[in-house]
Amino acid sequence: MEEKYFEISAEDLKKFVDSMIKDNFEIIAPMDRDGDTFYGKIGKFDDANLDILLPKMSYKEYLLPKTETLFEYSFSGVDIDIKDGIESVEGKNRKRVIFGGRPCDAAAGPIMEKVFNWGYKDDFFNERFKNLTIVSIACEKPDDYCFCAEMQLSPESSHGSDLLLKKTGDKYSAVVVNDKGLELIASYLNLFKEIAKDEFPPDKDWKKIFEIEKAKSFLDKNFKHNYFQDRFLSCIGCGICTYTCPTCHCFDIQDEGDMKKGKRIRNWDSCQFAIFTLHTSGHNPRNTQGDRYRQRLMHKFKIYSEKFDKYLCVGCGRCSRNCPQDINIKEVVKDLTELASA
Amino acid sequence: MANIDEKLQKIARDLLESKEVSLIIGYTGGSHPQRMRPVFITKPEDVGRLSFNRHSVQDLAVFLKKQEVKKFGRIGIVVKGCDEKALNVLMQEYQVSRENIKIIGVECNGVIRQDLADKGETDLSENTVYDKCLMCGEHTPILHDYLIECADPQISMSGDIKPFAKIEELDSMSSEEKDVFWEKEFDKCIKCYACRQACPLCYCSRCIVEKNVPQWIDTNFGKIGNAQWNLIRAYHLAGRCIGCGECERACPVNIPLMLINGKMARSIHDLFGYKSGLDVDAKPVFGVFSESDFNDFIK
Repeated sequence: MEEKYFEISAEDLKKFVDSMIKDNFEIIAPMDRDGDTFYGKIGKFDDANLDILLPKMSYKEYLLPKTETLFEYSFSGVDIDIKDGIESVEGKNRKRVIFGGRPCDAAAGPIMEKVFNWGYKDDFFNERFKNLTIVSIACEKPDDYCFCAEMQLSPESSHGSDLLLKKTGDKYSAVVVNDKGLELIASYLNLFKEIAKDEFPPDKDWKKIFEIEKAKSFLDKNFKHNYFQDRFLSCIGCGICTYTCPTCHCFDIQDEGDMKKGKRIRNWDSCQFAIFTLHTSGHNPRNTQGDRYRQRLMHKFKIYSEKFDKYLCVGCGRCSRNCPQDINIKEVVKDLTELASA
Repeated sequence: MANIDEKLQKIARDLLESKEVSLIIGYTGGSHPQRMRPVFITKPEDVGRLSFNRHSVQDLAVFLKKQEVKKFGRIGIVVKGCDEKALNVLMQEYQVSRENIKIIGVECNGVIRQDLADKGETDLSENTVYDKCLMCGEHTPILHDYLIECADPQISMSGDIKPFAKIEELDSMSSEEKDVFWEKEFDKCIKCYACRQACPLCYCSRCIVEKNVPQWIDTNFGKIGNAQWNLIRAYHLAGRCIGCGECERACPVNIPLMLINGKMARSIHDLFGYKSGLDVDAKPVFGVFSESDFNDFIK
């Protein structure tokens, strides 16, 4: 469908969210907790913190939960009963809305969708993604860790959002990107005022400090470059970068249980762990943290883009903000672009 | 501040030029003026990058467990008093040999909490430092080959702030209340194991959580799996944790891990009169047998 444009006052936006909650929508929004902000289920509009730039973690867990059951079994001694995990995927009967996320987080969904439908179609991911409606709010002030503009997005990008809001004074301008967005506001249209396309505030010109293609051209040719071993001596392999990342999606399949009952689950995993690639023989093809951080860079800025025509990074900067050793991926990628020209 | 940096750089240059060490692990400026980050210096001409200030929060002893770092052989390391206690435990446990390490001690009167520093905090006060700093008994590193005096004044204490007050609050709770408290905290755990990776004393080449024949610790993120992980880590650090707080600082979901570690340290002190990391010649508390042990089972 063609994009539609609306306006909504700050007061009506609150009514919009509170009405959705009343109508049994599950609303996930940035919420304050323990001195930080995390995405969580809000009980009312005022529970949300919409002033924060970015919650500490992304909302990836609503697409790929930290743990999910693929199937469960029980054995009575005679019969085996198997229950498919897809039956209990949440969000089937109740619509879930991510409200007040940022354009970078929204852009992550369609990027991950590629790999979860690469040959094998992952019903678990797809079922959740289908039932998720994304209402994002454009960023007014990205911080020094942000580099979405470099990642072919922008602080105002509507890519991946179903509805994008832009704050202008005490009201919001809204662009409805697709049918899902239109469907969401259909019951609350009295709160929105339709406007013409040219009344919608135009995107600013966001400056870039590097060209991501250059980083790829370095990665294409320099798998064995010393940079990786030297630069990532300070990496302790904690994996926080991957766990807080909106696009990192590696998982580990485990069986838990005994002869009588049990389940097969999949848990988040991380390429930054030494055990991730450890062979039974004891050989580890990614034996150093330099090898492992290089893998993360290769996957994000080379391999994924070659396979799926999208970089596996939205430039949110969480991996840098949360790194206990202050490894800053924006600096790293900039280094790669400079090495490419050197 | 410049004075400290100059002294650090001179020591590092001398050590590298005389080939007494092949690597210096220290701090350098980070992503913004209130952040420092580890730096690895191998050439005398690079020592100008070394710096130290009230934002030098990391415990650099963590790097001594990395294979990539170990291969440098003799290493110079910049440590605060708290970080140096980790070196003592590593030496007690035969992980690091005193001869292979040059300790560049920096006197420290506290480091500013990183969450506050990230919001621009630069003042050093009882409201801005970690709880460990308020209780610090080792402003001067116990062992050191070099010592650099502190640039910051001692923090004045009003008496209004009681470090780790929550531990006493928890002590007064019933088991059921404690269970509720910790279940809520552990529920946040995302099993990234960053607490383990950030810990200078979690050096097992294969952590129990990675052993799957049999699977000792549930891998799921449920109530049981999360509690198992966090409790087993606490037990493995009982009598060993020196309270650097790196696990809590690293935790991306803000679990108050220092409450557990602090409680363990208090219990070990009450039961055995032992404080971890203070005496490099002491036997580790769980590595000794005493005939006078008050427990019957051991006789």
